[in-house]
Amino acid sequence: MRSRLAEIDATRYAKTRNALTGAVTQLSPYFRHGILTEQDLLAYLNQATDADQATRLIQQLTWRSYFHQVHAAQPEHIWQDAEPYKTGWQAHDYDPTLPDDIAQGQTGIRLIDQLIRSLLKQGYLHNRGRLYLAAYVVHWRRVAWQAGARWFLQHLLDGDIASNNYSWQWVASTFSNKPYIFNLENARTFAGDALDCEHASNACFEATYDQLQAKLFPYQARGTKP
Amino acid sequence: MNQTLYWLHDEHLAPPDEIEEGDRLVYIWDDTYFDTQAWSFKRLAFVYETLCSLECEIFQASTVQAIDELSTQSDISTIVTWQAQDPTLSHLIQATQRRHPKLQVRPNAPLVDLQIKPPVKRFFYYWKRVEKMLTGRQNPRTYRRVK
Repeated sequence: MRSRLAEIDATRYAKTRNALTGAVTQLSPYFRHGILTEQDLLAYLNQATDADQATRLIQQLTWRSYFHQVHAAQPEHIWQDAEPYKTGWQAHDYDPTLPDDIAQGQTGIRLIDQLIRSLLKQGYLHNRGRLYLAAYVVHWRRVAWQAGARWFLQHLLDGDIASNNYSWQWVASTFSNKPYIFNLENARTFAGDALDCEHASNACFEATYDQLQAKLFPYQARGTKP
Repeated sequence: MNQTLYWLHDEHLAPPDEIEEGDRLVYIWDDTYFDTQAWSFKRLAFVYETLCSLECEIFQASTVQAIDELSTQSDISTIVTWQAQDPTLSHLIQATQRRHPKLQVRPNAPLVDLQIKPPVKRFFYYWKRVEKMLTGRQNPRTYRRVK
């Protein structure tokens, strides 16, 4: 398995990792199951790669280590909101159950259904695809992050509870300073051929960030819903 | 009487470096545990295929009962496993250790010990502290949130 490390192209990773078609390593299931360790990758990068090129990959590795250590520091909090939502909505405004159309990949929104199909069929999503899908579930559909996190853990080959749950909270804004949202322009920039961004059903994302903020978080400016 | 039994679990599907001839690699396929996790067939298949590549012994059984049974075998002197971060798995290991105090539960070394204590700070607070340790330099371009 450690021979797979030799396939890593840290330079291409640094340049293209944000794109859904970028040169990501896809090694995360192996880290999740202890087949490879973070130390294996760090040692390989230090030995075989220019330090400057390896920085982005090491940073992603550190995110994982950070989430694990946050979880270790407060294991009883893994399913709890770390902080209040910063969306203007309160926790009880979010549906605790994942709607069936999302679970089945039948939302009718082309790019979302394409991402869900990848999750269900491949057990894998690029990190940006996870962000898009989590943002849609939590902010467009107002579903509690816990329902989405549980769903990802069922299907992702690399699903580990600390990285998964805190990443969902990062999107939701219960473990970050603001909610993560995206618009269609962002998807066009990063999806390449991986998603059909031009389909009419994606219209709910066709807006500026200011427009989306106003639509999704109408009470955000005054703190919470009255 | 000097065999070590390495109890692999889904967060540690690799033989330890110090494994010796005669030691045993064992995985307990616990249906109750997997029912609780509610993983897809694809996830289960990934675990199973990995186990096959390790040529490890697989017992389909309750974890606690299987460790009970294995621990009575005369040629096994030590049982070793590793800490888990998943609460369900971690509780299972702790429950087994309560019945078998000789079970060694080894810690997993973090990439770098960030010494995180509640209340926890944001990632980039820690990244700025460990970046040089991990990469040998500091690069302010890495301090931005993804867009």
